[in-house]
Amino acid sequence: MSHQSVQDLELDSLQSLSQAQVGCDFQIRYLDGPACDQLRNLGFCETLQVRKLSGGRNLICSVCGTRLAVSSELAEHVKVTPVLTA
Amino acid sequence: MEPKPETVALAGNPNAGKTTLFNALCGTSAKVGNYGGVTVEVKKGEFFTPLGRRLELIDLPGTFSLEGGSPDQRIASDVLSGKNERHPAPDLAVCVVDASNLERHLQLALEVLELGIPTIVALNMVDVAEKSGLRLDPVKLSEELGVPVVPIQANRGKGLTELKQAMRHPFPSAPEVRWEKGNGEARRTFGLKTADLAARRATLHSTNLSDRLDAVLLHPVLGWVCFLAIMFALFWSIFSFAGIPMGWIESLQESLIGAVETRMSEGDLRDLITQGIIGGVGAVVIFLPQILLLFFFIGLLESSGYMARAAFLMDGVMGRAGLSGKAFLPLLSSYACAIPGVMATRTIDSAKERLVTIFVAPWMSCSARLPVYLLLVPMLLGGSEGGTTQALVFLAIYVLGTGTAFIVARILRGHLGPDEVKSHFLLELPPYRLPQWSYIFRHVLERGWSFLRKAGTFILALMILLWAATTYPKLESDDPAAVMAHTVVGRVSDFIEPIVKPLGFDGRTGTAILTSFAAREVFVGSMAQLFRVEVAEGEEEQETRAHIRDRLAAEKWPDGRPMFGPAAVISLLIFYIYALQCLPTSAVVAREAGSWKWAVGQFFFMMAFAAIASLVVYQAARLFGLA
Amino acid sequence: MDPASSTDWQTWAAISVVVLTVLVMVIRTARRSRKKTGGCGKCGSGDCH
Repeated sequence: MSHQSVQDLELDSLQSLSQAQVGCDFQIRYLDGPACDQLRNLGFCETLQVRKLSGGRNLICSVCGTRLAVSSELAEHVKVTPVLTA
Repeated sequence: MEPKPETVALAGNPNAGKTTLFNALCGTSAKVGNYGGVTVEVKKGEFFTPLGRRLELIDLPGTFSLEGGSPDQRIASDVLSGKNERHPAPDLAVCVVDASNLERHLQLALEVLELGIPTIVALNMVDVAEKSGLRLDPVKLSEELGVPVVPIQANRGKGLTELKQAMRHPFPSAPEVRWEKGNGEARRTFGLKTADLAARRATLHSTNLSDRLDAVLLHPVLGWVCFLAIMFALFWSIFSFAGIPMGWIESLQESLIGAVETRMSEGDLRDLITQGIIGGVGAVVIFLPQILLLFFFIGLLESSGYMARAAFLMDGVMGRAGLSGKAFLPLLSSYACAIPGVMATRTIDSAKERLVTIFVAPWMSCSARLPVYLLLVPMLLGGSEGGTTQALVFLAIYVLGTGTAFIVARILRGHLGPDEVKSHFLLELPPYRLPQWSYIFRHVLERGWSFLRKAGTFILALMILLWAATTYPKLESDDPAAVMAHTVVGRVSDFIEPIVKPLGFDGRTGTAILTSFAAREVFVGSMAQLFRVEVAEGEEEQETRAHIRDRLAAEKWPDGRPMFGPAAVISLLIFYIYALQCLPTSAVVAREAGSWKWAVGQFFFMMAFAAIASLVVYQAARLFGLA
Repeated sequence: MDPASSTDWQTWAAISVVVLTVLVMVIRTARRSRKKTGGCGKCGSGDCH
């Protein structure tokens, strides 16, 4: 497959963390909007890997060994793609 | 003249172990908690390097970044950049970094480096990091950052000598910034790259004991069951376990009074000592066990890491009140004392939510109200203390205060409007760990000693003055009522009575309420003095709570009705739940809210609310025949 | 000592204690209001966190 198509595939699978499936691993692609400053200030940023542990009003995820509770509203602004596990 | 010691600032993320390190270096008992944002003030201390040089140490509030709106971030940022008037820029910064969380903790360290301050990185909790499978390389980290990196275990006191040696003169010079200065993106990328080099992770996500515990404690149903069980156990144990030491204090009080009475002949000074001092102060000190237990359990919850889970669970409920889960710790602390609770609101990002939390915090019935509740509640239930019914009544009292607070919070929050920048619920759930007993005990003892000091000074003075007001001016008469009416208190009571009668209180109760504006705990001592009956010569006077209750229960209005029937007692309880009777709280509110208007408004609002609620309840109860 | 004078000295002693208490409170309040607000002196919670 050409490089262009791989990128297209990735963009197609781009979803927000709140939509993402519980129990799966994702990579943060970008943090959308000023609301995400809270996340950046915590040290979370693009390219970090995140595992979604539970959903709901506030979802719990694991990033770099840290458990984090994030409101689903904020998670809407976190765009991720699934990490393909071999 | 000795030159001014150089200052070293401790910076780092919450839960990185800064305060533990501060205590280890300076040997003081600053508070430690496993819930982000416990240290919300700047603490100062002193320590000596191995060469005997004195250095001043400043413990800054934990923050993830120097950019950001919350008050603790601003304090840290201002002190480090020299903008804080009270604390000039430090000569050296020690960034405490949690070795298990390098990817995130390094961000702050890099921001500090950008400020151009000489810096040392203290790599903390290396044992925990290694155990979780991380392979650390402090030398590599030091190379990449260009600053000394010292691995330490602050809680075990390891690595401290090496850290102090790194602080020898001359301080390491401010390092060269190895990314584009001012470019947050470049700094972040550098941080991630460095973290990857210095701390290789075996697996990115692993399930550990904390996760297994969270599967239960954060479960939508089980989690709530556990939470309610823990809260109930907390309050129940406070009331039950405290009973035994309270009995000891009571016996001590009685034997002291007995000793004085046998050694002194009758007279005013003897009365002052037995009734004013021992009786009055004793009525307050007897609550020391309860207060200690409450602070102990809160410390336990914080230290173990459960507090963050509680905040997570409560976020939904608090949302209905227009607040977030982050308001949970300040409000829970307010059950012990509103003052640290109000100060803990500094971790709330939203300014408006912070104001609302400060406003309603005094309605979480604080420990100063416990003496009042413990005096009055058994009167509703037929006299004896303890038991499940009493526990349920107490629960109802706390729920009432909390519930009203939430309703008012909701209304006030709506009134204030949305924030300029919306803030979302975002909370780190630290791993569970065994409580740090030494810190909890030290903290509890500190609180206990402060309480005793207050009792021994401020409350003692009040009790002496109150005794004088109930004794002088004297009237030569056989009628105890006439004698009482002639005293200062008697005259004040007469004046107040018409005002408080619709609420179900007589003048003496009204006077006791007035005295408790200085300190709520004083109410019990005041009632004991104001309602004391002249005893026949030779009869022993025992100022125990049960006796005070018995006397109150026997009191009657001139028309023969009991003065402290259910309606009056409930009315009095309602008044104490809602009235703001603590000037120190108002002072702290004024400071934290940034204006006196909030404190004054809060005081008058709560007073009016208490009076009206009391009035309505009493009159309604009378209508239903409960008087 | 007859009871009457015993009562007298006790009354004077008690009144002295009261007056002393008032003086101490007034002096401490005056001193505290002169000091800049840095903590919560009277609340008894020691270190305010």
